[in-house]
Amino acid sequence: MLHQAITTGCHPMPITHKIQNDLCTILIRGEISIYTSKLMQETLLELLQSEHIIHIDLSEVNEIDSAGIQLLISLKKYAHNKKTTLQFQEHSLCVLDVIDLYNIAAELGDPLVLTQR
Amino acid sequence: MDLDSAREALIEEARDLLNSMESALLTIEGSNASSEEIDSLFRVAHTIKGSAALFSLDHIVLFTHSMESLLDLVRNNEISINEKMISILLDCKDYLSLLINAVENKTENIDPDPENRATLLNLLDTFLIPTNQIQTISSTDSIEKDEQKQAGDSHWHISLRFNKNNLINGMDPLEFIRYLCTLGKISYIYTITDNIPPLDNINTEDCYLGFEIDLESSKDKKTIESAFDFIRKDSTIRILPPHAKMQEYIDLIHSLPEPPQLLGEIILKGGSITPLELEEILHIQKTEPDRQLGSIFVEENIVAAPVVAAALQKQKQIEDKKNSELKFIKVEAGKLDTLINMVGELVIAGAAANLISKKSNNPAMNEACANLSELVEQIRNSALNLRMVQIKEVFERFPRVIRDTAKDLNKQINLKLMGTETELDKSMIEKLSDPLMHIIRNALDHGIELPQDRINKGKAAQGEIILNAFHDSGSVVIEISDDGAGLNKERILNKAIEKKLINKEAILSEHEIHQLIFAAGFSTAETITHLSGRGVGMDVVKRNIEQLRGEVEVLSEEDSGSIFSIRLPLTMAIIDGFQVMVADSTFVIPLDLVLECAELTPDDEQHNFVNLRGKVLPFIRLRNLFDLPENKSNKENIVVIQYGQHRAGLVVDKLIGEFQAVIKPLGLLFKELKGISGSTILGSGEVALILDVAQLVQFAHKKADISRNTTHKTPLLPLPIPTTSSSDGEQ
Repeated sequence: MLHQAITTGCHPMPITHKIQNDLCTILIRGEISIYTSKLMQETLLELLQSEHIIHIDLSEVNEIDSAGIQLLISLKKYAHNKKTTLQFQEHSLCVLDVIDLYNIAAELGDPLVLTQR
Repeated sequence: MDLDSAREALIEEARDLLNSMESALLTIEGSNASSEEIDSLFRVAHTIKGSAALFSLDHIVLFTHSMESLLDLVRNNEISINEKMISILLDCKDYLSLLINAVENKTENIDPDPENRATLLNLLDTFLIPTNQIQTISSTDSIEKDEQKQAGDSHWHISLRFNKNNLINGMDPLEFIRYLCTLGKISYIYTITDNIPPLDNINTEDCYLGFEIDLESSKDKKTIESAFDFIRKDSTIRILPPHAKMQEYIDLIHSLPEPPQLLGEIILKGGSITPLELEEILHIQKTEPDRQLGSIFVEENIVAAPVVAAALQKQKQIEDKKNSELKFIKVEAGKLDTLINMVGELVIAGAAANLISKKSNNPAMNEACANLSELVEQIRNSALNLRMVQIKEVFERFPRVIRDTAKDLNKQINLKLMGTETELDKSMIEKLSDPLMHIIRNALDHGIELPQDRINKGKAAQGEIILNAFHDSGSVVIEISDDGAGLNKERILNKAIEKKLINKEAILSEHEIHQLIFAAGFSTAETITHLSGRGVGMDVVKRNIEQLRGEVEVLSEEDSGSIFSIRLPLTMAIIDGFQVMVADSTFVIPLDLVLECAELTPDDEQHNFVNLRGKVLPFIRLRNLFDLPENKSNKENIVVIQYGQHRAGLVVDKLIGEFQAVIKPLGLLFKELKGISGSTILGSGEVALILDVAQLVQFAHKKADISRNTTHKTPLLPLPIPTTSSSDGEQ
């Protein structure tokens, strides 16, 4: 509970979205971590109530931890159950890094620009 | 028939592989062995063995098996590769080449060199024996199948299931995985995400993750265990050391919450166990029937099949880099030649169509023809490009030759290859190999001195030979330079006089003396070695190069080295030409060699020179050269051509313009004709002669020299064109 207090205090709204026809593009900024995940869960759940196709732009994510990765996977699972099309896009380098380290590119199932190490 | 072509494929593949093996060995010898090269060596032996087994070529299978065993040990760091081993492996490669040749000649039942085979097998065995003993010791261990384990000495298997409070306590699994990376190399990781609930049910601060990790690490168990000290209390951690027993894997699978089939597949993927072992484990378990590897991911998770492919692409990309040869297809040379001939005909037909369209004054027709000619030109270029091969193909034969020869001669030589990606016609590549070999052997034998002599001369003990190739105004230049002793002028002169190649009184410039080494029957070697010095050296080189319409030259300075420079035309089939006319005859000059055109005013003309913007330019009147009728209009043009360093002017009546010329060789009858290198057919169906710029430039300069030396005006020489002397020393 302590974390959430810090989150709301220090961070501006990290999730914005725009809707175009039947496509909803969600932009996540800053960090997806244990500190922000609770708040993101709520916002994202709300946004996913619509019938839109969801694209989540990760290009502005500058930090992600295991809680963040869990959030992305659980988001996928939720969308899958709801039969909503949901895709992560424009993964920033730090996101790719963790996806690579955890070897979960297939798990997430989004087209990635594959990094070469 | 089919079997024959498969055999051919085997032969070709084996030769490619052997070549790559040789270069890998030489790289290893030159620097330290990287695992990539060792892997590629192993792959060569392994692949040849496999293909040979298909044809039951037991000779090859048995031999490569020994090589493979040795390389396998090297690959697993059980023995390290050394110079002696490299030499033996190079010999093995040579012997294998003989075997492959035997297959090609269908004499595979006769061993080409049984003595050598026995020696090599013995030598290979000397490396193998000590480790065989180790193997027997380990197999006394009563656990069956353990000896088959692919895993090396350092293969750990780690299973992690994090406690749900780990995240909130600040123990991010990410940190542990990153820390493991510092202890060794994670060869495979599988993240278990099955327990993560969907978004509406997740408690974002709980940890749901689990991992199956394969770690290559030389650290001891304590160090690896200590990585998890902080989470030991509440998480599930299983660490299996290298060479863990089967039962331990069975226990591991039992002790973890996931279904055994899934775990089995994960561990299998990481390479900790073999499929056979997994089957056995699962058999013991008597769980659900076998499922195909990989399908499990698609079924168990929310993954679409094409996405798995996308993830796999990464590994593939790396593999693709290694097998870049897969990007090429092999085409029979004859088919290419047919294509190029057809394109040649197309060019001629196109030119004819163009000509007619121009006469017809029909704008639509003209436009259609213009489009057509542009396309024809593109097709021509790509068709010719098909024949272009990187010179690498020739250059890469030399490192081995140089290494072996240098060892024979006790010389230290460093070979540098430059411009290996320079392209030239395939047919030339084949014919270049011999002359280049000759020059290089000469450089090794006569050029580079013994290390002690070099040190005495104040040079580095290690000599250097540089092979360089580059494009230069429509030709390819190949330079072979060494930093050796250089040519000995006096010795060349004496030899040339002795062999009656020149008169005693002859006064020759340094350059001319050097070129004497290309004269027929000339060899300066005082002792005849098996490498060079049989007197069939440089003149043969020169003749070979001239057959390719090229020329060879040597520059040398005593004690600092020599440069042999070979200049070849880019292609031999179709050229961009520049069409000119003298009287009623049309001539074609290779466009690449044309520098500029200008009108010739009588004032410019002084004896055998013209004054071109204040510079002296020797020239030739094609009319006089070919004895053509007088010009009626009195207007003349000069075309400035360049070959190598030299320029000259050609005086003609009319400039026509660019033209794609399909070179048709002149018949045997005209073989000795100088100044003309071929013929081509114009759109009108007329024949035009293609001028040999190299010879014309040379001729213009020689003529200019003569007229400068003899003060009176030399009359221009009519046909037949004076033959340029076969050895440069005759003047």
